[in-house]
Amino acid sequence: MKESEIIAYWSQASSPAGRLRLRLRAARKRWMWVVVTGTARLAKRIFDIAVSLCALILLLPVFALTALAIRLEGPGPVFFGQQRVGYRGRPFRMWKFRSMVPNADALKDKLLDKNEMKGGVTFKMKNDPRVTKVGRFIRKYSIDELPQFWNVLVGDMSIVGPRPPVPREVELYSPEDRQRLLAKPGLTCFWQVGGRSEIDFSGQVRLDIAYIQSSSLWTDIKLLLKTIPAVLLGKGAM
Amino acid sequence: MSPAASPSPKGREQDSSALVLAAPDWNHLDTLGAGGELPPILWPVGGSHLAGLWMDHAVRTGCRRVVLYCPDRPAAVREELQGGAYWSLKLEVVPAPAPADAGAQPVRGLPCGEERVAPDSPGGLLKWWMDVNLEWLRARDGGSVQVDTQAEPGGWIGPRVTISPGAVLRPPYWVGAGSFVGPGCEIGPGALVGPGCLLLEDVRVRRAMILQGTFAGAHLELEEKILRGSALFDIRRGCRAELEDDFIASALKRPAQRVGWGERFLAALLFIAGRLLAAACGPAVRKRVLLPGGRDAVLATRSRGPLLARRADWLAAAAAGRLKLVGILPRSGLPHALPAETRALVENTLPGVFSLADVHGCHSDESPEELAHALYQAAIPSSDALVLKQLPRLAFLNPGP
Repeated sequence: MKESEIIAYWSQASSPAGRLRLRLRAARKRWMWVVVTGTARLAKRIFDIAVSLCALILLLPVFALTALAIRLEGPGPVFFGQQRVGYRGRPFRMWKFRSMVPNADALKDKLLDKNEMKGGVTFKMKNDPRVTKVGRFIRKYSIDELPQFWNVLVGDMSIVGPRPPVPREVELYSPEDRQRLLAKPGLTCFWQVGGRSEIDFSGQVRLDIAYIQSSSLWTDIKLLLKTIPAVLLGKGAM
Repeated sequence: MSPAASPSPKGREQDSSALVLAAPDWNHLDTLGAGGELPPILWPVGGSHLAGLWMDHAVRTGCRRVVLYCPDRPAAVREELQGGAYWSLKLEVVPAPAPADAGAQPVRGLPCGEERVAPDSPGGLLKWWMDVNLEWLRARDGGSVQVDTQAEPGGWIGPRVTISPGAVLRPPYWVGAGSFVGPGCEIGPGALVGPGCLLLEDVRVRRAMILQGTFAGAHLELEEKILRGSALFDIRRGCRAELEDDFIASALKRPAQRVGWGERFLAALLFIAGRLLAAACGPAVRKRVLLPGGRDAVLATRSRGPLLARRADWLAAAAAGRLKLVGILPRSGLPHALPAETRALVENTLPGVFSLADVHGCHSDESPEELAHALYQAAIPSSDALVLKQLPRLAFLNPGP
C-alpha cells in the first residue's frame, strides 16, 4: 500500500467523526469474526446434541433387545463403563454394551503377547477369547458402541472425532501422538470409515491429526454419512 | 527453567524415571504485566508454554514423574498442568525454590535449547521471552507429524487459518489455529501470531509476537514488539503502552465477567428467601454503585436482619446477571490515592452479593479493611471458591446494626 494511502487512513483519527468511523469499522470486523467463529463451534455442539438425542430415542428398541440378549446369555452387567482419555488428557467414563466376560480387563494382561495391532500401542485380537457370543454379534455391527450417544449428549464426546484411547495406551504415546488428544473424542473418525482396525496405530494418528487440521461441520456430516454403511457392513470391526 | 536433577554429594539415589525441574522466580521482573496473571513458565511459547514443552521433553526421555519446584504462583501452574494428565505423567508442583543441593544448572528456556543468562530487568525479560519463541520456531522439526502444517521450511500454519490474497509470509513464521491474516499483510521473518487472532489489511509483523485472541487493526506495524489485546510491549525499550483506541488493537474477547445461568438460578432462589425475610428488616437505603464498563446500578440495602434479607435487592440484580453471586462488594467509589493499576483492577471486576470481606467480618464497602479484601479477591479470582464454601453461613449471618 502506498505511503500516502496509509497517511490518509490514519489521518481520519484526527477528527471525532473519523475516529468514530474507524471504531465502527473495527467493531464490525470484530463482531463478524466472533460471530463466524462462535457459530462454527456452536453448530458442532448443536449437531452433536441433535444427532445423539435422535439416536437415543430412535434406537431404544435396539437398546432393549440388546440388553435382553446380554442378560439372557449370562450373569453380569448390561453396560460396561470404561475409563477413557478425553480432550487434553481429561479422563471420562465411556459407556458400551458389555460384549466380553465380566473380568475381561483382568484377563487382558495374559493376552498381551497375542496383540495383533501393529505398533503395539493399542490392543486388538481377531479371535479374542474374552468376547461372548452375543458380544461377537454386537461388536461386528458396532451395536456395543451405541450407549456412547449418551456420552455425546452430556458433552464428554462428539459425534465425529478421534476415538478415545484407554489410559494404558496413552502412557505409551509420544508427544506427537498426544496431539490426537487436542480434539474432543468422537464416535467415528476418518479411520473408522477407512478400515478401522486394519489401519495401524501410526496411520490412525496421522488420520486423526488430518481430521483436526481440516475439521468443519460439513466434514463431520460427510463422515457420519460414510460411517453408516461402514458399520452396517461390519467393515474392520473385531 | 532448568533441570535440577543431579546426584547429590550425600549420595542420595535419584529416581531414574523422574525429571526434577526448577522454575525461576521472576515475579519481581514482570512489572509490565507481560504475561498477565501467569508466571513466566506459563507464558505462550508458540502453540504451548515453557512448562508444557518441558513436559513433552519428559515424555520423550521416558520419565514417568516430574517434580517442579515453582516459587512463583504454584497454584496457577498446578491448575494449568492438571497434574500432568495430558502427558500421562505424575506431576508434583512444589511451591518452593529448588533445594540448594539439587545441582542447579544454568537457566535454559527450551529443553535441549541454548543456555541463556537470566534476565535482570523487565525489558530483559521481554527480550528473553521473544528469544525463546524464536528459538522454538527455528527448532521445529519438519519431519514429525504435526497439527500445524509446514507451508515451507521455517513456515508453520495452524488448522483453520485463513490467509487472504496479497498477504506475504516470510519464514520463519508461525500462525496459530483459527487466525485470519488480512490482505496485504506481511508476516515474518521472525513472526509469531497466536491462535484466534484477527489481522486486518496491511499488518506488518517482523520479529514480533501477536498473542492469542488479539485484534490487530489495519496498517499496524510491529517490529520488536509483543501485542496482547490492547497492551503493546516494546522489547527494545522495555516498556508497555496501553492502546486506548480499539481500532488500533484490542482483545477479541472481553474478559469473562458474565454471570452463569447456574449462578443466576441460585441467586433467584436466594432472592425469594431473602424477600420473605426482608419484610421484617426495616426500610431499605438506596445507593448508586459502580459496575465495570462505566455502568452503574442502584442497589437497596436494609440495615437489619441476616445478609440474605439485607441484600435481597442485590440478589435480584444477580439473578438478572448484573452482579455476581460471589464477588467483591459493590462500591460507589474508590479512594483517590489508589494507584491507577489497582484502581483499574477493582473497577473492572464485577461485584457480587457475597464477598471475601464478608467472610472476614467486613460487610460494608465503607469499612477501611474492606478494600484490602476486595483487592485480594479481585487479584485472585480463585478466592471466590472460599466464599462459595461459606455461602450457607454468610447468607444467614446477622452482622448487627
